[in-house]
Amino acid sequence: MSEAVLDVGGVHAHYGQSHILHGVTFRLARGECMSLMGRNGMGKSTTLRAIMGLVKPTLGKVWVLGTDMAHLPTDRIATLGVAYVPENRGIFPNLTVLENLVMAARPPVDGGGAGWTLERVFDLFPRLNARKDSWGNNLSGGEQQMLTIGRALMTNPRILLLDEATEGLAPLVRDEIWRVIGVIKDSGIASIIVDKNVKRLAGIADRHVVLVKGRVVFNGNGEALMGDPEFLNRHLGV
Amino acid sequence: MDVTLFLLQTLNGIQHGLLLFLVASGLTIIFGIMGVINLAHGSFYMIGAYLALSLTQWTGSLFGAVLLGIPIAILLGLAIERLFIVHLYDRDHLQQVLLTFGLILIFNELQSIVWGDDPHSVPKPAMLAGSVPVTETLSYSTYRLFLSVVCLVVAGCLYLVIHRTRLGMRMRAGAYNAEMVRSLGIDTRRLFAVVFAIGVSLTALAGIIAAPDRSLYPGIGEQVLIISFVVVVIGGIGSVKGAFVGAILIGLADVYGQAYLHDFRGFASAAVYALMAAVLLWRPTGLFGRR
Ligand SMILES: Nc1ncnc2c1ncn2[C@@H]1O[C@H](COP(=O)(O)OP(=O)(O)O)[C@@H](O)[C@H]1O
Ligand SMILES: [Mg+2]
Repeated sequence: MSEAVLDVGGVHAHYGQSHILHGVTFRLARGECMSLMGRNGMGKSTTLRAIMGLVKPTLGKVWVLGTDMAHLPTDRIATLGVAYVPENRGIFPNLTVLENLVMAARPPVDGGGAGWTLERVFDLFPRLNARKDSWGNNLSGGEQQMLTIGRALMTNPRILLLDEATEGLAPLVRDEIWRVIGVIKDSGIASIIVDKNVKRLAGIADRHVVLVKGRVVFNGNGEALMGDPEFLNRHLGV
Repeated sequence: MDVTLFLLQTLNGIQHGLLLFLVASGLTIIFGIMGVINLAHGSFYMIGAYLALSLTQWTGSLFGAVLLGIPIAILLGLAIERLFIVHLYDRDHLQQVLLTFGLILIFNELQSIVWGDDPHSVPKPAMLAGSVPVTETLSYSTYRLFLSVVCLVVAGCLYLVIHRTRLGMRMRAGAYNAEMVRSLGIDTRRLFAVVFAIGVSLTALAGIIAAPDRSLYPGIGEQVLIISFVVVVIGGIGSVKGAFVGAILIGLADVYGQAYLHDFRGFASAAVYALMAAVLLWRPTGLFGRR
Protein backbone atom coordinates (compact mmCIF):
# COMPACT_ATOMS: atom_id res chain seq x y z
CA MET A 1 0.00 0.00 0.00
CA SER A 2 1.27 3.43 -0.84
CA GLU A 3 1.91 6.12 1.73
CA ALA A 4 -1.09 7.01 3.92
CA VAL A 5 -2.39 10.56 3.63
CA LEU A 6 -4.64 10.01 6.62
CA ASP A 7 -4.05 7.72 9.55
CA VAL A 8 -6.75 7.33 12.16
CA GLY A 9 -5.33 5.41 15.10
CA GLY A 10 -7.46 4.14 17.97
CA VAL A 11 -9.70 7.17 18.14
CA HIS A 12 -12.14 7.41 21.03
CA ALA A 13 -14.67 10.22 21.18
CA HIS A 14 -17.35 11.32 23.58
CA TYR A 15 -20.34 13.62 23.48
CA GLY A 16 -20.52 14.61 27.11
CA GLN A 17 -20.84 11.38 29.03
CA SER A 18 -21.74 9.17 26.09
CA HIS A 19 -18.86 7.23 24.62
CA ILE A 20 -19.41 7.29 20.85
CA LEU A 21 -16.19 6.08 19.18
CA HIS A 22 -14.35 3.10 20.64
CA GLY A 23 -10.92 3.02 19.07
CA VAL A 24 -11.69 3.67 15.41
CA THR A 25 -8.68 2.76 13.30
CA PHE A 26 -8.08 2.93 9.55
CA ARG A 27 -5.72 4.43 7.03
CA LEU A 28 -6.42 6.24 3.81
CA ALA A 29 -3.86 5.89 1.05
CA ARG A 30 -2.89 8.68 -1.33
CA GLY A 31 -5.63 9.08 -3.91
CA GLU A 32 -7.71 6.31 -2.38
CA CYS A 33 -11.50 6.47 -2.29
CA MET A 34 -12.82 4.88 0.87
CA SER A 35 -16.40 4.35 1.92
CA LEU A 36 -17.49 4.64 5.51
CA MET A 37 -20.67 2.67 6.12
CA GLY A 38 -22.91 1.70 8.97
CA ARG A 39 -26.47 2.07 10.10
CA ASN A 40 -27.74 5.34 11.56
CA GLY A 41 -26.10 6.39 14.79
CA MET A 42 -23.06 4.11 14.45
CA GLY A 43 -20.57 6.97 14.51
CA LYS A 44 -19.80 7.77 10.87
CA SER A 45 -20.38 11.50 11.21
CA THR A 46 -18.60 11.57 14.54
CA THR A 47 -15.59 9.91 12.91
CA LEU A 48 -15.46 12.60 10.24
CA ARG A 49 -15.93 15.31 12.86
CA ALA A 50 -13.10 13.82 14.91
CA ILE A 51 -10.83 13.96 11.86
CA MET A 52 -11.75 17.63 11.39
CA GLY A 53 -11.07 18.36 15.04
CA LEU A 54 -14.69 19.39 15.54
CA VAL A 55 -14.92 16.68 18.16
CA LYS A 56 -11.68 16.30 20.09
CA PRO A 57 -10.64 12.64 20.34
CA THR A 58 -10.44 11.66 23.99
CA LEU A 59 -7.88 9.04 23.09
CA GLY A 60 -6.04 8.08 19.93
CA LYS A 61 -4.40 9.98 17.11
CA VAL A 62 -5.20 11.40 13.74
CA TRP A 63 -2.30 12.05 11.36
CA VAL A 64 -2.45 13.89 8.07
CA LEU A 65 0.72 13.19 6.10
CA GLY A 66 2.58 12.53 9.30
CA THR A 67 1.34 15.60 11.19
CA ASP A 68 -0.45 14.73 14.40
CA MET A 69 -3.65 16.72 14.29
CA ALA A 70 -5.27 15.68 17.51
CA HIS A 71 -4.33 18.97 19.14
CA LEU A 72 -4.62 21.27 16.18
CA PRO A 73 -7.57 23.60 15.78
CA THR A 74 -10.01 22.81 12.99
CA ASP A 75 -8.80 25.56 10.69
CA ARG A 76 -5.23 24.26 10.83
CA ILE A 77 -6.42 20.75 10.04
CA ALA A 78 -8.28 22.15 7.03
CA THR A 79 -5.24 24.06 5.81
CA LEU A 80 -3.19 20.85 5.96
CA GLY A 81 -5.43 19.77 3.10
CA VAL A 82 -8.58 18.28 4.56
CA ALA A 83 -11.93 19.45 3.19
CA TYR A 84 -15.20 18.60 4.83
CA VAL A 85 -18.72 18.38 3.48
CA PRO A 86 -20.98 17.97 6.51
CA GLU A 87 -24.32 16.15 6.58
CA ASN A 88 -26.24 19.39 6.76
CA ARG A 89 -24.07 20.83 3.92
CA GLY A 90 -23.17 23.98 5.84
CA ILE A 91 -24.02 26.40 3.05
CA PHE A 92 -23.88 30.04 4.07
CA PRO A 93 -27.40 31.25 3.24
CA ASN A 94 -26.39 34.91 3.46
CA LEU A 95 -23.68 34.52 0.81
CA THR A 96 -24.24 34.05 -2.89
CA VAL A 97 -23.19 30.88 -4.66
CA LEU A 98 -20.15 32.68 -6.02
CA GLU A 99 -19.24 34.03 -2.57
CA ASN A 100 -19.66 30.61 -0.97
CA LEU A 101 -17.15 29.33 -3.51
CA VAL A 102 -14.52 32.05 -3.31
CA MET A 103 -14.67 32.89 0.41
CA ALA A 104 -12.34 30.04 1.32
CA ALA A 105 -10.57 29.37 -1.98
CA ARG A 106 -6.90 28.40 -1.60
CA PRO A 107 -4.18 27.14 -3.90
CA PRO A 108 -3.00 23.55 -3.36
CA VAL A 109 -0.85 23.05 -0.24
CA ASP A 110 2.16 21.70 -2.12
CA GLY A 111 1.79 24.17 -4.96
CA GLY A 112 1.62 21.31 -7.43
CA GLY A 113 -1.35 19.40 -8.75
CA ALA A 114 -4.02 20.45 -11.16
CA GLY A 115 -5.49 23.14 -8.95
CA TRP A 116 -9.22 23.59 -8.66
CA THR A 117 -10.38 26.97 -9.85
CA LEU A 118 -13.76 28.62 -10.15
CA GLU A 119 -13.71 27.74 -13.82
CA ARG A 120 -13.11 24.06 -13.18
CA VAL A 121 -15.78 23.91 -10.49
CA PHE A 122 -18.24 25.53 -12.88
CA ASP A 123 -17.25 23.02 -15.55
CA LEU A 124 -17.97 20.26 -13.08
CA PHE A 125 -21.27 21.80 -11.98
CA PRO A 126 -22.69 23.97 -14.80
CA ARG A 127 -25.77 24.38 -12.62
CA LEU A 128 -23.75 26.41 -10.12
CA ASN A 129 -22.57 28.73 -12.84
CA ALA A 130 -26.17 29.35 -13.86
CA ARG A 131 -27.06 30.19 -10.27
CA LYS A 132 -23.89 31.96 -9.23
CA ASP A 133 -25.63 35.12 -8.05
CA SER A 134 -28.36 33.35 -6.07
CA TRP A 135 -28.27 33.46 -2.31
CA GLY A 136 -27.32 30.24 -0.58
CA ASN A 137 -30.76 29.89 0.95
CA ASN A 138 -32.48 29.95 -2.43
CA LEU A 139 -30.91 26.71 -3.63
CA SER A 140 -32.51 23.30 -3.98
CA GLY A 141 -31.07 20.43 -1.96
CA GLY A 142 -29.17 19.19 -5.00
CA GLU A 143 -27.73 22.62 -5.75
CA GLN A 144 -26.70 22.95 -2.12
CA GLN A 145 -24.83 19.67 -2.27
CA MET A 146 -23.11 20.70 -5.52
CA LEU A 147 -22.16 23.99 -3.89
CA THR A 148 -20.76 22.45 -0.75
CA ILE A 149 -18.71 19.98 -2.79
CA GLY A 150 -17.57 22.78 -5.09
CA ARG A 151 -16.65 24.92 -2.10
CA ALA A 152 -14.62 22.04 -0.65
CA LEU A 153 -12.79 21.61 -3.97
CA MET A 154 -11.97 25.33 -4.07
CA THR A 155 -9.77 24.77 -1.01
CA ASN A 156 -7.72 22.36 -3.13
CA PRO A 157 -7.73 19.57 -0.59
CA ARG A 158 -5.69 16.39 -0.54
CA ILE A 159 -8.44 14.63 1.37
CA LEU A 160 -12.18 15.12 0.98
CA LEU A 161 -14.59 14.01 3.69
CA LEU A 162 -18.07 13.71 2.24
CA ASP A 163 -20.84 12.98 4.72
CA GLU A 164 -24.19 11.66 3.43
CA ALA A 165 -23.20 12.35 -0.15
CA THR A 166 -26.63 11.88 -1.72
CA GLU A 167 -29.05 11.89 1.19
CA GLY A 168 -32.36 13.55 0.47
CA LEU A 169 -31.57 14.23 -3.18
CA ALA A 170 -33.67 13.49 -6.26
CA PRO A 171 -32.53 10.45 -8.30
CA LEU A 172 -31.14 12.51 -11.19
CA VAL A 173 -29.16 14.68 -8.80
CA ARG A 174 -27.85 11.59 -7.05
CA ASP A 175 -26.49 10.31 -10.36
CA GLU A 176 -24.84 13.66 -10.86
CA ILE A 177 -23.19 13.53 -7.44
CA TRP A 178 -21.92 9.98 -8.04
CA ARG A 179 -20.47 11.09 -11.35
CA VAL A 180 -18.71 13.95 -9.58
CA ILE A 181 -17.34 11.63 -6.90
CA GLY A 182 -15.83 9.65 -9.75
CA VAL A 183 -14.27 12.78 -11.23
CA ILE A 184 -12.86 13.75 -7.84
CA LYS A 185 -11.41 10.29 -7.39
CA ASP A 186 -9.82 10.44 -10.84
CA SER A 187 -8.30 13.83 -10.00
CA GLY A 188 -6.25 12.12 -7.30
CA ILE A 189 -7.93 13.52 -4.20
CA ALA A 190 -8.23 10.90 -1.49
CA SER A 191 -11.74 10.71 -0.12
CA ILE A 192 -13.96 9.21 2.53
CA ILE A 193 -17.54 8.90 1.34
CA VAL A 194 -20.45 8.28 3.68
CA ASP A 195 -23.69 7.20 2.02
CA LYS A 196 -26.58 4.79 2.44
CA ASN A 197 -26.24 3.37 -1.08
CA VAL A 198 -24.01 0.34 -0.60
CA LYS A 199 -24.20 -0.69 -4.24
CA ARG A 200 -23.02 2.65 -5.53
CA LEU A 201 -20.28 2.80 -2.93
CA ALA A 202 -19.18 -0.72 -3.80
CA GLY A 203 -18.95 0.38 -7.42
CA ILE A 204 -16.79 3.41 -6.80
CA ALA A 205 -14.78 3.03 -3.58
CA ASP A 206 -11.47 1.16 -3.46
CA ARG A 207 -12.04 0.06 0.08
CA HIS A 208 -14.82 -0.05 2.63
CA VAL A 209 -14.92 0.48 6.34
CA VAL A 210 -18.03 -0.50 8.29
CA LEU A 211 -18.77 0.91 11.73
CA VAL A 212 -20.94 -0.69 14.37
CA LYS A 213 -21.46 1.28 17.56
CA GLY A 214 -18.26 3.19 17.14
CA ARG A 215 -16.09 0.19 16.25
CA VAL A 216 -14.66 -0.86 12.89
CA VAL A 217 -16.14 -4.28 12.09
CA PHE A 218 -15.04 -4.46 8.47
CA ASN A 219 -12.15 -3.02 6.56
CA GLY A 220 -11.63 -4.47 3.10
CA ASN A 221 -12.40 -4.36 -0.58
CA GLY A 222 -15.72 -4.56 -2.40
CA GLU A 223 -15.51 -8.24 -3.22
CA ALA A 224 -15.11 -9.24 0.39
CA LEU A 225 -17.93 -6.93 1.41
CA MET A 226 -20.43 -7.90 -1.27
CA GLY A 227 -19.54 -11.56 -0.91
CA ASP A 228 -21.03 -11.78 2.58
CA PRO A 229 -24.82 -11.29 2.31
CA GLU A 230 -25.36 -12.14 5.97
CA PHE A 231 -22.94 -9.40 7.06
CA LEU A 232 -24.48 -6.91 4.65
CA ASN A 233 -27.91 -7.66 5.97
CA ARG A 234 -26.97 -7.46 9.61
CA HIS A 235 -24.87 -4.31 9.57
CA LEU A 236 -26.03 -2.39 6.56
CA GLY A 237 -29.58 -3.59 6.12
CA VAL A 238 -29.20 -4.76 2.53
CA MET B 1 -44.39 75.04 11.73
CA ASP B 2 -41.50 76.64 9.94
CA VAL B 3 -40.50 74.52 6.96
CA THR B 4 -36.89 75.70 6.80
CA LEU B 5 -36.41 75.09 10.47
CA PHE B 6 -37.93 71.67 10.03
CA LEU B 7 -35.49 70.91 7.22
CA LEU B 8 -32.58 72.02 9.38
CA GLN B 9 -33.82 69.78 12.19
CA THR B 10 -34.01 66.97 9.66
CA LEU B 11 -30.42 67.60 8.63
CA ASN B 12 -29.44 67.54 12.30
CA GLY B 13 -31.31 64.30 12.81
CA ILE B 14 -29.61 62.67 9.85
CA GLN B 15 -26.20 63.87 10.98
CA HIS B 16 -26.88 62.62 14.51
CA GLY B 17 -28.07 59.31 13.05
CA LEU B 18 -25.03 58.90 10.81
CA LEU B 19 -22.73 59.32 13.77
CA LEU B 20 -24.79 56.83 15.74
CA PHE B 21 -24.44 54.44 12.84
CA LEU B 22 -20.67 54.35 13.22
CA VAL B 23 -21.07 53.28 16.84
CA ALA B 24 -24.02 50.96 16.32
CA SER B 25 -22.53 49.21 13.29
CA GLY B 26 -19.55 48.17 15.39
CA LEU B 27 -21.82 47.00 18.17
CA THR B 28 -24.00 45.01 15.82
CA ILE B 29 -21.20 43.27 13.91
CA ILE B 30 -19.44 42.34 17.14
CA PHE B 31 -22.65 40.85 18.43
CA GLY B 32 -23.76 39.34 15.13
CA ILE B 33 -20.46 37.78 14.15
CA MET B 34 -18.78 37.02 17.45
CA GLY B 35 -21.87 36.59 19.62
CA VAL B 36 -20.46 38.98 22.20
CA ILE B 37 -22.53 41.65 23.94
CA ASN B 38 -19.95 44.34 24.40
CA LEU B 39 -21.11 46.89 26.96
CA ALA B 40 -17.68 48.52 26.79
CA HIS B 41 -18.42 49.59 23.22
CA GLY B 42 -19.45 53.06 24.36
CA SER B 43 -16.15 53.39 26.17
CA PHE B 44 -14.34 53.28 22.84
CA TYR B 45 -16.43 56.25 21.74
CA MET B 46 -15.43 58.05 24.93
CA ILE B 47 -11.79 57.12 24.41
CA GLY B 48 -11.99 58.39 20.82
CA ALA B 49 -13.40 61.69 22.02
CA TYR B 50 -10.72 62.18 24.68
CA LEU B 51 -8.03 61.07 22.22
CA ALA B 52 -9.32 63.82 19.96
CA LEU B 53 -8.81 66.26 22.81
CA SER B 54 -5.21 65.25 23.52
CA LEU B 55 -4.15 64.56 19.96
CA THR B 56 -5.63 67.81 18.66
CA GLN B 57 -3.66 69.67 21.30
CA TRP B 58 -0.54 67.69 20.48
CA THR B 59 -0.68 67.77 16.67
CA GLY B 60 -2.48 71.07 16.43
CA SER B 61 -5.22 69.70 14.20
CA LEU B 62 -8.22 67.41 14.29
CA PHE B 63 -6.98 65.69 11.17
CA GLY B 64 -3.82 64.77 13.00
CA ALA B 65 -6.00 63.36 15.76
CA VAL B 66 -7.86 61.18 13.27
CA LEU B 67 -4.66 59.97 11.63
CA LEU B 68 -3.10 59.01 14.96
CA GLY B 69 -6.28 58.08 16.77
CA ILE B 70 -7.39 55.35 14.37
CA PRO B 71 -4.20 53.26 14.65
CA ILE B 72 -4.32 53.70 18.43
CA ALA B 73 -7.92 52.50 18.43
CA ILE B 74 -7.03 49.48 16.29
CA LEU B 75 -4.20 48.50 18.64
CA LEU B 76 -6.41 49.05 21.66
CA GLY B 77 -9.14 46.92 20.07
CA LEU B 78 -6.72 44.10 19.30
CA ALA B 79 -5.31 44.22 22.83
CA ILE B 80 -8.72 44.24 24.54
CA GLU B 81 -9.88 41.40 22.30
CA ARG B 82 -6.86 39.26 23.07
CA LEU B 83 -6.83 40.04 26.79
CA PHE B 84 -10.53 39.92 27.62
CA ILE B 85 -13.04 39.38 24.85
CA VAL B 86 -11.46 36.16 23.59
CA HIS B 87 -12.53 34.52 26.85
CA LEU B 88 -16.15 35.42 26.23
CA TYR B 89 -16.81 33.64 22.93
CA ASP B 90 -18.23 30.49 24.43
CA ARG B 91 -19.69 32.07 27.55
CA ASP B 92 -23.27 33.03 28.23
CA HIS B 93 -24.51 36.58 27.91
CA LEU B 94 -24.53 37.24 31.65
CA GLN B 95 -20.79 36.66 31.86
CA GLN B 96 -20.23 38.84 28.80
CA VAL B 97 -22.26 41.62 30.35
CA LEU B 98 -20.41 41.33 33.67
CA LEU B 99 -16.95 41.43 32.17
CA THR B 100 -17.63 44.21 29.71
CA PHE B 101 -19.40 46.21 32.42
CA GLY B 102 -16.23 45.84 34.47
CA LEU B 103 -14.31 47.23 31.51
CA ILE B 104 -16.58 50.30 31.49
CA LEU B 105 -15.69 51.00 35.12
CA ILE B 106 -12.00 50.64 34.38
CA PHE B 107 -12.12 52.87 31.31
CA ASN B 108 -14.12 55.51 33.17
CA GLU B 109 -11.65 55.49 36.03
CA LEU B 110 -8.76 55.84 33.59
CA GLN B 111 -10.57 58.70 31.86
CA SER B 112 -11.00 60.41 35.21
CA ILE B 113 -7.33 59.93 36.11
CA VAL B 114 -5.91 61.02 32.75
CA TRP B 115 -8.29 63.79 31.69
CA GLY B 116 -10.12 64.72 34.89
CA ASP B 117 -13.83 65.17 35.47
CA ASP B 118 -14.22 68.71 34.14
CA PRO B 119 -15.97 69.16 30.82
CA HIS B 120 -13.72 69.84 27.88
CA SER B 121 -14.20 70.96 24.34
CA VAL B 122 -12.20 70.32 21.22
CA PRO B 123 -11.71 73.14 18.71
CA LYS B 124 -13.08 72.66 15.21
CA PRO B 125 -10.59 72.88 12.36
CA ALA B 126 -10.53 76.49 11.22
CA MET B 127 -11.60 75.66 7.67
CA LEU B 128 -14.74 73.93 8.99
CA ALA B 129 -15.58 76.28 11.82
CA GLY B 130 -18.02 78.45 9.91
CA SER B 131 -21.53 77.86 8.74
CA VAL B 132 -23.33 77.65 5.44
CA PRO B 133 -26.15 80.18 5.06
CA VAL B 134 -29.47 78.55 4.22
CA THR B 135 -31.82 81.54 4.35
CA GLU B 136 -31.23 85.14 5.37
CA THR B 137 -31.63 84.27 9.03
CA LEU B 138 -30.76 80.58 9.21
CA SER B 139 -27.53 78.77 8.57
CA TYR B 140 -26.12 75.30 9.02
CA SER B 141 -22.83 74.35 10.64
CA THR B 142 -20.13 73.49 8.12
CA TYR B 143 -18.62 71.08 10.58
CA ARG B 144 -21.86 69.13 10.84
CA LEU B 145 -22.01 68.83 7.08
CA PHE B 146 -18.45 67.58 7.17
CA LEU B 147 -19.43 65.05 9.86
CA SER B 148 -22.23 63.73 7.71
CA VAL B 149 -19.98 63.41 4.68
CA VAL B 150 -17.31 61.55 6.65
CA CYS B 151 -19.90 59.19 8.12
CA LEU B 152 -21.42 58.52 4.71
CA VAL B 153 -18.00 57.79 3.22
CA VAL B 154 -17.17 55.42 6.08
CA ALA B 155 -20.57 53.74 5.78
CA GLY B 156 -19.91 53.28 2.06
CA CYS B 157 -16.48 51.78 2.75
CA LEU B 158 -17.98 49.45 5.34
CA TYR B 159 -20.59 48.35 2.82
CA LEU B 160 -17.89 47.63 0.25
CA VAL B 161 -15.79 45.68 2.73
CA ILE B 162 -18.74 43.59 3.86
CA HIS B 163 -20.18 42.94 0.40
CA ARG B 164 -17.26 43.08 -1.97
CA THR B 165 -14.26 41.56 -0.21
CA ARG B 166 -13.33 38.09 0.98
CA LEU B 167 -12.94 39.49 4.48
CA GLY B 168 -16.56 40.63 4.30
CA MET B 169 -17.70 37.25 2.97
CA ARG B 170 -15.93 35.54 5.83
CA MET B 171 -17.47 37.94 8.32
CA ARG B 172 -20.95 37.23 7.01
CA ALA B 173 -20.26 33.51 6.91
CA GLY B 174 -18.88 33.60 10.44
CA ALA B 175 -22.02 35.32 11.66
CA TYR B 176 -24.00 32.39 10.35
CA ASN B 177 -21.85 29.34 11.06
CA ALA B 178 -18.40 29.87 12.57
CA GLU B 179 -17.72 26.13 12.80
CA MET B 180 -18.15 25.74 9.04
CA VAL B 181 -15.87 28.73 8.47
CA ARG B 182 -13.18 27.01 10.55
CA SER B 183 -13.75 23.76 8.69
CA LEU B 184 -12.86 25.61 5.50
CA GLY B 185 -9.46 26.51 6.89
CA ILE B 186 -10.15 30.04 8.09
CA ASP B 187 -8.70 31.07 11.43
CA THR B 188 -11.77 32.49 13.13
CA ARG B 189 -9.73 33.71 16.09
CA ARG B 190 -7.91 36.04 13.75
CA LEU B 191 -11.13 36.87 11.92
CA PHE B 192 -12.83 37.79 15.19
CA ALA B 193 -9.88 39.90 16.27
CA VAL B 194 -10.11 41.83 12.99
CA VAL B 195 -13.87 42.25 13.38
CA PHE B 196 -13.43 43.53 16.90
CA ALA B 197 -10.72 45.97 15.84
CA ILE B 198 -12.94 47.23 13.01
CA GLY B 199 -15.80 47.72 15.45
CA VAL B 200 -13.60 49.56 17.93
CA SER B 201 -12.08 51.82 15.31
CA LEU B 202 -15.47 52.75 13.84
CA THR B 203 -16.66 53.74 17.29
CA ALA B 204 -13.47 55.56 18.17
CA LEU B 205 -13.67 57.43 14.87
CA ALA B 206 -17.19 58.50 15.79
CA GLY B 207 -15.87 59.76 19.13
CA ILE B 208 -12.98 61.64 17.52
CA ILE B 209 -14.97 63.45 14.89
CA ALA B 210 -17.93 64.11 17.19
CA ALA B 211 -15.69 65.71 19.81
CA PRO B 212 -15.52 69.22 18.26
CA ASP B 213 -19.31 69.27 17.92
CA ARG B 214 -20.16 68.18 21.46
CA SER B 215 -18.60 68.71 24.83
CA LEU B 216 -16.60 66.04 26.59
CA TYR B 217 -17.56 64.97 30.09
CA PRO B 218 -17.58 61.77 32.14
CA GLY B 219 -20.31 59.40 31.05
CA ILE B 220 -20.53 60.24 27.34
CA GLY B 221 -19.64 56.64 26.53
CA GLU B 222 -22.64 55.23 28.37
CA GLN B 223 -25.02 57.70 26.76
CA VAL B 224 -23.90 56.63 23.34
CA LEU B 225 -23.93 52.97 24.34
CA ILE B 226 -27.56 53.00 25.41
CA ILE B 227 -28.82 54.78 22.35
CA SER B 228 -26.70 52.48 20.15
CA PHE B 229 -28.31 49.46 21.71
CA VAL B 230 -31.68 50.94 20.84
CA VAL B 231 -30.45 51.35 17.25
CA VAL B 232 -29.18 47.77 17.09
CA VAL B 233 -32.43 46.38 18.46
CA ILE B 234 -34.54 48.42 16.05
CA GLY B 235 -32.39 47.51 13.07
CA GLY B 236 -32.21 43.83 13.93
CA ILE B 237 -29.31 42.38 15.85
CA GLY B 238 -26.35 41.64 13.59
CA SER B 239 -27.64 43.60 10.60
CA VAL B 240 -25.43 46.46 9.41
CA LYS B 241 -28.13 47.61 7.02
CA GLY B 242 -30.54 47.56 9.96
CA ALA B 243 -28.10 49.59 12.03
CA PHE B 244 -27.98 52.19 9.27
CA VAL B 245 -31.75 52.54 8.93
CA GLY B 246 -32.22 52.28 12.70
CA ALA B 247 -29.59 54.95 13.36
CA ILE B 248 -31.16 57.43 10.95
CA LEU B 249 -34.62 56.80 12.43
CA ILE B 250 -33.34 57.22 15.97
CA GLY B 251 -31.34 60.30 15.02
CA LEU B 252 -34.47 61.88 13.56
CA ALA B 253 -36.72 60.78 16.43
CA ASP B 254 -34.27 62.19 18.93
CA VAL B 255 -33.89 65.54 17.22
CA TYR B 256 -37.60 65.94 16.43
CA GLY B 257 -38.41 64.87 19.98
CA GLN B 258 -36.12 67.53 21.44
CA ALA B 259 -37.39 70.15 19.01
CA TYR B 260 -41.13 69.56 19.01
CA LEU B 261 -41.96 67.75 22.21
CA HIS B 262 -40.08 69.96 24.66
CA ASP B 263 -43.37 71.32 25.94
CA PHE B 264 -44.28 67.89 27.20
CA ARG B 265 -41.89 67.33 30.02
CA GLY B 266 -40.11 63.96 29.80
CA PHE B 267 -41.55 63.11 26.40
CA ALA B 268 -38.78 64.74 24.42
CA SER B 269 -36.23 62.06 25.23
CA ALA B 270 -38.88 59.34 25.30
CA ALA B 271 -39.50 59.68 21.54
CA VAL B 272 -36.59 57.34 20.89
CA TYR B 273 -37.94 54.62 23.14
CA ALA B 274 -41.46 55.02 21.82
CA LEU B 275 -40.06 54.42 18.35
CA MET B 276 -38.26 51.32 19.57
CA ALA B 277 -41.39 49.95 21.20
CA ALA B 278 -43.42 50.59 18.05
CA VAL B 279 -40.87 48.86 15.81
CA LEU B 280 -40.59 45.86 18.12
CA LEU B 281 -44.35 45.45 18.35
CA TRP B 282 -44.48 45.42 14.59
CA ARG B 283 -41.34 43.32 14.05
CA PRO B 284 -40.06 41.63 17.19
CA THR B 285 -36.64 40.87 15.67
CA GLY B 286 -36.13 44.39 14.37
CA LEU B 287 -36.40 45.84 10.89
CA PHE B 288 -33.76 43.63 9.28
CA GLY B 289 -33.38 40.94 11.92
CA ARG B 290 -33.38 37.26 11.18
CA ARG B 291 -36.65 35.68 12.14
N1 LIG C 1 -24.15 16.41 19.40
C1 LIG C 1 -24.39 15.19 19.93
N2 LIG C 1 -24.61 15.06 21.26
C2 LIG C 1 -24.84 13.85 21.81
N3 LIG C 1 -24.88 12.71 21.12
C3 LIG C 1 -24.67 12.77 19.80
C4 LIG C 1 -24.42 14.02 19.13
N4 LIG C 1 -24.26 13.76 17.81
C5 LIG C 1 -24.41 12.44 17.67
N5 LIG C 1 -24.65 11.83 18.84
C6 LIG C 1 -24.82 10.41 19.07
O1 LIG C 1 -23.64 9.79 18.65
C7 LIG C 1 -23.91 8.59 17.99
C8 LIG C 1 -23.23 8.57 16.65
O2 LIG C 1 -23.79 9.59 15.87
P1 LIG C 1 -23.28 9.90 14.40
O3 LIG C 1 -21.80 9.92 14.40
O4 LIG C 1 -24.00 11.11 13.93
O5 LIG C 1 -23.79 8.62 13.62
P2 LIG C 1 -23.96 8.36 12.07
O6 LIG C 1 -23.37 9.49 11.33
O7 LIG C 1 -23.27 7.07 11.85
O8 LIG C 1 -25.43 8.25 11.83
C9 LIG C 1 -25.43 8.47 17.92
O9 LIG C 1 -25.85 7.58 18.93
C10 LIG C 1 -25.91 9.84 18.20
O10 LIG C 1 -27.14 9.81 18.87
MG1 LIG D 1 -24.34 10.86 10.12
